[in-house]
Amino acid sequence: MPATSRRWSAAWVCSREADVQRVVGHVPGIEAVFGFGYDVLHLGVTGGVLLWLFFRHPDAYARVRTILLAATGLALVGFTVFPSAPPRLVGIGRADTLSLAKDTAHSGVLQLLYNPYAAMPSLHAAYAVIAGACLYHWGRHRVIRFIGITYPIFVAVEVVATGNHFFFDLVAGIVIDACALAFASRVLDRHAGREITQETGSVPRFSVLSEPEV
Amino acid sequence: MSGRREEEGDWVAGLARGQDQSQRDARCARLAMASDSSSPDHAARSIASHPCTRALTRTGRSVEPGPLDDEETFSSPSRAWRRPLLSALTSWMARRHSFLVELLLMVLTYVMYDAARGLVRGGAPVAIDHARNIATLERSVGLLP
Repeated sequence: MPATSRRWSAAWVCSREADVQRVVGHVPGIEAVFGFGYDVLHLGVTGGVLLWLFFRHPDAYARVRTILLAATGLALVGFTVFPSAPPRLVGIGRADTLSLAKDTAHSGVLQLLYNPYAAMPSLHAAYAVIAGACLYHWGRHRVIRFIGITYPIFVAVEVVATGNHFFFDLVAGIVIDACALAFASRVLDRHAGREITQETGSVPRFSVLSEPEV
Repeated sequence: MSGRREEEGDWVAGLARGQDQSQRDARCARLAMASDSSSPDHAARSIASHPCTRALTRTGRSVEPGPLDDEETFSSPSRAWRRPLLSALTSWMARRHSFLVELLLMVLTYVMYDAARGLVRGGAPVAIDHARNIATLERSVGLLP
């Protein structure tokens, strides 16, 4: 790739994170939408997708639920091992557009348990990718599949625009998705293998009268 | 007995090699049989009292006696209690349960996650330091000005 093209492509990719909040700030009302989305869509869409799978695609539900649980556990490990503040609290020029929403959404006991230093990895991105992949994979209507593609992108822009995550937090969220997928596949496939072994009776009964072949 | 200890020491290696659970169980029971095979009664008592055999009996599974292979690895009897527990957990996770059970599972998981996330809250200076490290890394690859 020529040096000029490389510079332009790098500038295009790199300017997105730095400028996304500034660009979004020019759209009236979008910050409120993103603030609402950050607090509500995260669980709302994920829960909705789980409900949809439970009733419409029951065969896929257990696997997706296990992936979500594994991703949540892995994210918790990440928050413990590598506590990280969101960009809005670091003083690198990101506005704190969520402070008002946080005050209203987390009150009482929830305020006590609220952990502001849990930015790495981004569980918003992790859940959004899982939900989007499910919608794309199992959605029969074109609109649902389109939502499956655009929803993770929307969440990525939203969490960066609200100053809650760095781009690398999103990457870490996708990485824990991959790990959770591998874990769930391994665990559930092993279980499926055991079920087949037991059903086909390929494991004979144990007999203490048999002489061990030492 | 030293050979047995070596074989038991290969527990981690066995896991790393991704051995099938039933294979490990079978080998573990064969190990019990081979270790005390001076008389059939003694061997039977040894096998019956072996943790792996008890665990397999509880789970209703059976194993086949077979040859001992020096290259194969063995499960540690002291960790046998984990197998039925993990097996039960994975088989439970692999199934879709009633709506109420699933709802309860997700709600409980989220509440526990939220509580745990609050409890593992790191100190502000460390968290800000980590965030600055990420920002530095992003600057180095050109993601931040």
